[in-house]
Amino acid sequence: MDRLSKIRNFCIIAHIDHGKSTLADRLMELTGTVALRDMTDQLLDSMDIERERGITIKLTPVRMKYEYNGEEYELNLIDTPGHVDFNYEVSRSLAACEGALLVVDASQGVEAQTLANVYLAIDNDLTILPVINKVDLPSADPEGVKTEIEDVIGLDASEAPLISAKDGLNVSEVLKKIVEFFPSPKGDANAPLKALIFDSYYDNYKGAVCLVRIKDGSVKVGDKIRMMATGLSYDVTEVGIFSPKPIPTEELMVGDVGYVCASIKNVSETAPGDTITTAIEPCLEPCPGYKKVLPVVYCGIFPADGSKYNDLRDALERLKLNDAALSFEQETSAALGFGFRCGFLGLLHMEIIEERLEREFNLDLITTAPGVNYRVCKTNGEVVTVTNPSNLPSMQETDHIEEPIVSADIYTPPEYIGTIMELCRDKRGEYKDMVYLDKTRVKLNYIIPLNEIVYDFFDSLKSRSRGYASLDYEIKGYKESDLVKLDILLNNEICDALSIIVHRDKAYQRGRSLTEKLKEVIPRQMFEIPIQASIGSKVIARETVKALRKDVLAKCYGGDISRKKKLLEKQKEGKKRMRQVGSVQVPSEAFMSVLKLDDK
Amino acid sequence: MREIYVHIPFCARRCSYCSFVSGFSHSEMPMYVRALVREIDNRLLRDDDISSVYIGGGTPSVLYRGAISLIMSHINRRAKVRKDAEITIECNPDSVTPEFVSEIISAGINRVSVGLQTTNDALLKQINRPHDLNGFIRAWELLAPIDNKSVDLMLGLPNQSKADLQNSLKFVAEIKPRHVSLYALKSEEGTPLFRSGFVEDGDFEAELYDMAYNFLVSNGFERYEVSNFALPGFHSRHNCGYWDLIEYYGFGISAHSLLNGKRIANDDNFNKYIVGTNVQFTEGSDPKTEYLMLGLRTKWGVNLSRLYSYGLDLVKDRGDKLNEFIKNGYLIRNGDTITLSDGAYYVMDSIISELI
Repeated sequence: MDRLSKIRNFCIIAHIDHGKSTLADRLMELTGTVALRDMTDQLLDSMDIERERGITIKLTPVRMKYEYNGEEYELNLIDTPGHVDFNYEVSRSLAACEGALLVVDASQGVEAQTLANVYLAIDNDLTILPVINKVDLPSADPEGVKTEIEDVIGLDASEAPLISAKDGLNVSEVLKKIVEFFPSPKGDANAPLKALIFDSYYDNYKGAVCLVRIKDGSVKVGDKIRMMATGLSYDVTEVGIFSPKPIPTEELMVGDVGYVCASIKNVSETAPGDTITTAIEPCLEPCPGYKKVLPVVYCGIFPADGSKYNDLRDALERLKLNDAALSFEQETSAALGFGFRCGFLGLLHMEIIEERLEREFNLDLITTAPGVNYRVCKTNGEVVTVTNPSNLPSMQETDHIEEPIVSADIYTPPEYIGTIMELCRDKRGEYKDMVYLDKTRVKLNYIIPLNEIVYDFFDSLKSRSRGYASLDYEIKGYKESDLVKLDILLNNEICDALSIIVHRDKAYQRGRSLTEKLKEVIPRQMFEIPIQASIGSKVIARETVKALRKDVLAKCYGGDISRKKKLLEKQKEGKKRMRQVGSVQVPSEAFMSVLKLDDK
Repeated sequence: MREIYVHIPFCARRCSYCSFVSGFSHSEMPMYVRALVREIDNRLLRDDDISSVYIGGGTPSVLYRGAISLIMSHINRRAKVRKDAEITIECNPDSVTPEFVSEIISAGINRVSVGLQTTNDALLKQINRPHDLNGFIRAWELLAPIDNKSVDLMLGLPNQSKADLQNSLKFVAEIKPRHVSLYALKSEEGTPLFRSGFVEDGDFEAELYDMAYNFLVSNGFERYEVSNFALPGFHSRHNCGYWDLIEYYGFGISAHSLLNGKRIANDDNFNKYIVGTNVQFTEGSDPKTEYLMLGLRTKWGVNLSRLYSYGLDLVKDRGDKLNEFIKNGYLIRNGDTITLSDGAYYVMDSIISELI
């Protein structure tokens, strides 16, 4: 019992830019976990993308030693991802803690995203300590923010340390409060091992590394362990803690946060939320709350250069090693050749994967419009799920189609309510509720088809609210809907990569804007190209790319030949980057440009 | 067998669309001509077999009297210019004088190419040409002793109407040159035309081209290259040499040569050229690509066996594209020969770029 009373496991909840990573850096510095000379800004965010976007994607726990009243305490900071796409991951990492620091910017106040995570923390019975950051800024209003925390969240903010993480002001106060305020972990050292996996990552030498919080018992090298969800067994090869680099230890004991390696080949076998126990004498109950994570947003990803297919597959496999939520399977498109249909937790997850493929693996990609998982009930009683428009059963075979719907919370200053409600209506949203959180913030709740959210909802929301509104959504189930497959025909041939599934009421508008956009981006060719949008055999919009009349180098004599040869070779190179759809050459940009259309 | 091109970078004034190396001060003509004959003496192989000479520019007719004779005499002194060689000079109507005509005849020149461009004086003025229609007529009369004459016409000039081009074509049909070159105006970066914001209208240009093509063909001219039309037997042999990969010397600043399988470019620094310290840039030629891109410009097309000998087996390596183009009527295969169909001439780059 004495050992447990010297341990504190906590996380930091903060809105983007409110200073979570900076505070984490200061805590590590003050506790001497990291020598000052090794400090680079925001140590915990190890990926470039994380640093640039100011978000955390992979969790990194760190153990700090802290002396309080002459006694040494072990403080385990568990970082959390800060985005709705990773809600489940957040909830698992919260479940590994007893306390949470809620960092709020002294001039910005409580933000929507913070709220969502605070509620998750409350749901997980965490003790929450508000911390007011950036109090040194001229616009800081710590007292106002305290009142806001009390009014909006209902937390007592009277003890909140007022700090400036950037300058280190009052950060030692935070350390003190962590010990005083947060409960120590509970658990039975003599019970069978029960360890919660809150994240995992892939290491080239060690295999999948499980990040765990030991709830009961202990684990050491040589133990035979079992994953309770998958039932798979392994031999433990290494256990250790993060400081912040991994350091092997002899044993992890109840209350500890650390890692377990067991020659596990794939992170899909170490799902967050799963429970590790001993194979011989398993614990009776797993840790509560395990869910199998399923993708909700899908899109096709193809290499811009068809010969890079294998590189793309290798890259996806590499990313998958570390990202169990990413799913992909081979897809063949008549227009785009070989590629993959990939599933993601949400739009941000999708963007991050695309960006990492391009940046870390140097791939040029063509992505198709993001879609969702449709449920098609066929006339023969069969129910199939469809993510790729090309696989949609014919209208004759279809009784009805259901689409996933979400409950969307939109937080906005009141002046944008009108335009946001208009947007939600336009996106087939069903109004549910509106709550004034305070004078300057309103929460709107709508039921909206996910299909509309993945299209361009977020961008429209941001532009309509000048960036002030934020969105949080949660899948609510399926709903029958009048959905149709909208095809695009180029020179009378369907271009499969451009097909989308859309609500019938939206089809005309979307068909028109698609054909207009394609007319702009498809270059003129030697023959006239009709561009048609159709539902089934019914054409609903048409544009024409006129035939190319002139494509010739005027003069070509002695002096010109080298230069003009280069021009022709450049033209040839340009054509190589085009995709052949039937007889029509379509530039890669065409596929990308239709992803974002201005709906008027 | 080789050809010779001589570049004369002087003009009475600069046309608004011109991007060639030209327009140096006339006071520097004698120095330039001295440097030119020095280059000829240095580079032209003794007794080389020369089938054609082309003096172009710029405007060679603006040279002082005696310069052309001097240049020709240096060429004749070193090389063996064939008796039946085609020897062409470019001229502008405003600088054609009786003295000029008698000098070029005595220098052995047997073909002239005259820049008319259009018969519309307002358009001529607009593109800063130094002549008008009357000036052209006067020059044409002076050039009567030379039978083999070519006229340059332009299409796609700013504000040029179909009727303008029609009038120019009718005029040309009346004066009966042996050869007509028909160039589309190109707005090149760095020219006054480009700076004026002029943008080519490819569609209208194509209409004008089709009209001119039909007119010239119905008047007995044959299109032997996309921009060149001739009465039977009067195609420019010199220019055909370029398209047939015949080797040639290029003398003068910025002139290019094809010698011993290498493409050589003189740099365009006038002062260095004068003092003889100019630099040449050499790159290997790429006969399979060059033959394909140049041969298809002509009515003779490309010969598959010859292309094969350069290392491109069009039937095997580009079979799909070749057959598609033949099927769609853009290319015609006649045994060993591939030619463009009439309708494909003005979009030939779309075809050629797929075959190279």
